Amino acid sequence: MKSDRAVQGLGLVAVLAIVATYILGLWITPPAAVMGNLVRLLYIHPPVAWVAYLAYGVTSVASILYLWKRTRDPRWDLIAASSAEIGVVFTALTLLTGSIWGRPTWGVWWTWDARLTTTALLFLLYVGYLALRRATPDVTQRSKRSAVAALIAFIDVPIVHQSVVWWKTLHQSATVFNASLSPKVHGEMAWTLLLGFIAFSLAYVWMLIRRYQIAVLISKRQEILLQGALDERMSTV
Amino acid sequence: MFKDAWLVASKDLRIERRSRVLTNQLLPFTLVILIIFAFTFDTHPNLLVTLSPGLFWVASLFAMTIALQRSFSLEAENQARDGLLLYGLESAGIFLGKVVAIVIQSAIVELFIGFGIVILYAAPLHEVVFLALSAFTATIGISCVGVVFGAMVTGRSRDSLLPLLIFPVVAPVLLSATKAWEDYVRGKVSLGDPWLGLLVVFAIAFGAVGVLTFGSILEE
Amino acid sequence: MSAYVEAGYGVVTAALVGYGAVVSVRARKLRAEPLVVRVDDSRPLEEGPRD
Repeated sequence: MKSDRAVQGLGLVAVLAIVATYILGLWITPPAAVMGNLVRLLYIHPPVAWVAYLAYGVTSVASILYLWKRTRDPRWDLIAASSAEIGVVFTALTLLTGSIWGRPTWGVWWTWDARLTTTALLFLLYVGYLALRRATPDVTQRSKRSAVAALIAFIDVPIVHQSVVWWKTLHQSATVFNASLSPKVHGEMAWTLLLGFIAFSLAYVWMLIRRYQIAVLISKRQEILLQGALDERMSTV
Repeated sequence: MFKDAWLVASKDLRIERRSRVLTNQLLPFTLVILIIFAFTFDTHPNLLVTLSPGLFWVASLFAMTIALQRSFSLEAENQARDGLLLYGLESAGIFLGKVVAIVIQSAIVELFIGFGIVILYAAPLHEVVFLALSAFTATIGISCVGVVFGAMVTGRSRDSLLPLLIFPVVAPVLLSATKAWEDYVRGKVSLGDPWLGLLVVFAIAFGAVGVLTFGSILEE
Repeated sequence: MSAYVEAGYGVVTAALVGYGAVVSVRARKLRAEPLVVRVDDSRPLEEGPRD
């Protein structure tokens, strides 16, 4: 299986890139002036958040392609589902690493900042999406319904974001983002962050391929089992 | 499409009128919620007045979820939903009819909760017309989302999924509706209120989603 | 190094390794398992189902 070798190679490259990001981020780069060692969290937090958004973007596009009758193909549904699951994992990581960064920086684990609130709702939207899939056994039903749910989430996210931004700007003048805390990213720090983005994106692509393969194998298996059951029923005449 | 909507809405409302679930179950339930809120904020009576916009919407949303579950579990029995399609009703019409029925029931419930808040919490109401307008718009938006999800998950122990699906999606509606109410209390009233605008956008967006996709949810 | 930094990197590593392992093990298992196909074509299909 030549293509499987390629996937294995991709996985290996992703692991190496992440290890390189870790080494650069943890030991090679200097601590920042204001944030000290905490700046090291910024080499993984934005890339993880980026992958979460990327994953949901892929889910949205695949779901819309499934819903549109001219491009309807069961494979879009499987891609959407695989990407959503990875998205949920990475959103959880985004919230966790953000919280770990926020505790020493802001003094609290959680704050009702616009970005945090939107991300938390995004997490719940797609947890609901996955729960809906699990609760719908029929394949065609599941594909259509979860595609509609993904479309709703896709439309909802900008509305959620806008409402939370207004909520904060209209009712609270001081924001938690202090200008002196946002680091000037330059030199080797910028390179490390860029490497982080690439490394985690590669990891995402690898996970998506593997997860998609599983989804395809399971759906094939179900088809064959169904066919087998049908044949068995036919033959017990 | 609108004729079909009218048929479905009047059918749903007739069922409700005969079964009296609204008056015998939903309204008493909202009363219970209001009393429980009063218990939990017992130490600070003024807090109830301050929080009343938020409490109003939490109580309304709970009641609406129950109304939605009921509206669809009735049709899950005896494949009544397939019947609707077999009669040749348009799916967009079925969607709109369901939304109208839910909006009318919710409006009654919200009126009741509104009275409850004024009487039990001694909360003053300001700009009643604008308040009603924003509540109505918010209710339409929530109903559109609710009907789409309700059609997906009712029956066979999937009812518990409905709140998980609806609540995160309608979170901006609750936020906007609550904030719009607070603006009216402060005397900031205009049709150009950004919160009201957001409610309108939400209702239109999810109304369109429902009209366009309800067909693929119903036909299996 | 701050404990927060260690916790952050630890959480990310654990999740990536955990999810990656689950996904690749499951894919391998599914591919290795032979598909049990219960097809009995000893009778002609024309007979049709009994009910």
